[in-house]
Amino acid sequence: MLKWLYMNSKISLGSILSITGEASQDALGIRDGIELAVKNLKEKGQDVDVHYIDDNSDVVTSVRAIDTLIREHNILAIIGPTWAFQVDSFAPIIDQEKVITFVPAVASDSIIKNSEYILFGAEKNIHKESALKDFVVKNKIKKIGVILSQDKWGVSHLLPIKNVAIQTGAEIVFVEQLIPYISSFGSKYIKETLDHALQSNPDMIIWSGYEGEANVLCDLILEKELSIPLISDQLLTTGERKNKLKKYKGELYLFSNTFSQDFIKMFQSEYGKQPTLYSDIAYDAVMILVDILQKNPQVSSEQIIKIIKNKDYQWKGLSGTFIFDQLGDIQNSSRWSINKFEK
Amino acid sequence: MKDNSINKQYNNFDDIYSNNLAVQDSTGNRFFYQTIDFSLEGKNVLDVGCGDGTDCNFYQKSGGIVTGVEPSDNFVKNARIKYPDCEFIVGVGEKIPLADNLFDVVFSKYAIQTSPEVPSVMSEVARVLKSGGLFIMLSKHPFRQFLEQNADKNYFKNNITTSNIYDGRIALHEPSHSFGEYLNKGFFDNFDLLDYKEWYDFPASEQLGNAIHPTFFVIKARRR
Repeated sequence: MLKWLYMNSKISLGSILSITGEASQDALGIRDGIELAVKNLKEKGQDVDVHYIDDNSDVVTSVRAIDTLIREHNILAIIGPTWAFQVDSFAPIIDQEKVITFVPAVASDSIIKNSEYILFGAEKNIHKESALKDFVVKNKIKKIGVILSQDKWGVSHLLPIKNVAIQTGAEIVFVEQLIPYISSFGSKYIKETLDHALQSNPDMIIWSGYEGEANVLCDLILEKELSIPLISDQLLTTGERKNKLKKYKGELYLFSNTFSQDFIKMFQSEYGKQPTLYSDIAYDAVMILVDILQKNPQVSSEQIIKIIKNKDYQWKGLSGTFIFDQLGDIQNSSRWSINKFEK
Repeated sequence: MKDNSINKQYNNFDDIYSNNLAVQDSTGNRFFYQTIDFSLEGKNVLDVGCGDGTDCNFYQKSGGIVTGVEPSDNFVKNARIKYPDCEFIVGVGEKIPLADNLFDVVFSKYAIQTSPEVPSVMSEVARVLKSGGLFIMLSKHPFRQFLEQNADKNYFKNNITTSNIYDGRIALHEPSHSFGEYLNKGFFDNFDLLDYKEWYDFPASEQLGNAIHPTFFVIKARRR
């Protein structure tokens, strides 16, 4: 039976993140959170080694890294991967290897393949409903246009949007699901989709997709000099698009998380900048894994996952209180908010 | 694909298949579409085994002039209604009912494995492609098909397989194939192989014996 590596009081964790490539914005924020936790633990006398592997936002590299961490570093707990589609490919390997895997930026409603050894730190997309409902009511939105990716991530947004429409009396006047990575050959398709969405006269458009589609959309809305309100994932305003979109004539709103003031203060003091979406969850992921390991140094990963998913286990972290259900999701979180993109 | 019971089986569950296509197949889709790193604007495009026409619609909206060939008449009937800007023809991959040198790009996704004569399909694709044209295909991985053989497991024999897809909601029966049937001398006489990828898409495909095994492969090739 595999046991946790906890020798000479030093704890070893692995982290497979998309430090480079299209998911890097989220991954870098996660790494900042991990590093901050490691520093704080060290100050309290607990040494933690984190072995990082950059998967370059590639799923094959990401999955192969699991084996490297296990065989070369005896790692039995991993933080990562970064995005939902990577988790789908992770899950069967994680099941086989029985590695505790804490995914800070994903929830189970955005993946197809789960594993009992995966813990999800992010809140489900279905919980965006409350923030979206408040937004629709406050801004007197009557007609909603929706452009999503045609995968589980995109589909997981449909239900909260439909629920909000029902509850507020707003009408969904346009829905299109674009296949992921269509951007390489489909800029014409994205342009036509946006045109069709606009022809249906929505009061706002909700968009969710990936890097390539975000580039095309960004260029299109600037070129067309649009001014319609857009609600999007943070991805739309990352990288070069952040500066470009400062010229957008309409308002941009982003699905965001609410950070505790304690975390913001600590993060700013360390890095001189604001935390990104999942930094605080990554911070708490390290704290949870270390806490469990300190208390259970000679316990198998099968037993560890049972302890964490037990209804009596809870961790009061800086991003909230963690109580995990049997799917590995946090149960009692309500962090989603919609914030205006500051130009 | 050949007009036989193997291909007609889609008539029995075309609606379930279409409704699950987008979400369940997203890993395969991701690998497939990432390979299309060029514009389809103004290009003549053929989709071999186009199913319900979903992909044809994407290619057409991306600027392609698109024809889909599909042996299931149910699929073709529905595709013609759903996507009137594309042309759909009932036909099989072993004898594509179209002239030589017509297309700039030929796509085929999760279709060629249904043929009992894969080398014939590959030859037909070469025939309808213009010189320099691109062929991008995704098919069931031969290793997966070996595992899914119903009896007398023999990698080199075209045994009937049962693929339980979409969490077991559909049981597909198809002949198994070896890699040599896809990548034989005929293929290399006609094509330059540009890219090859293999991966898995559980639970869209059944995970057999809790093993980690490839479920699909993607080939990108240029017609000589």
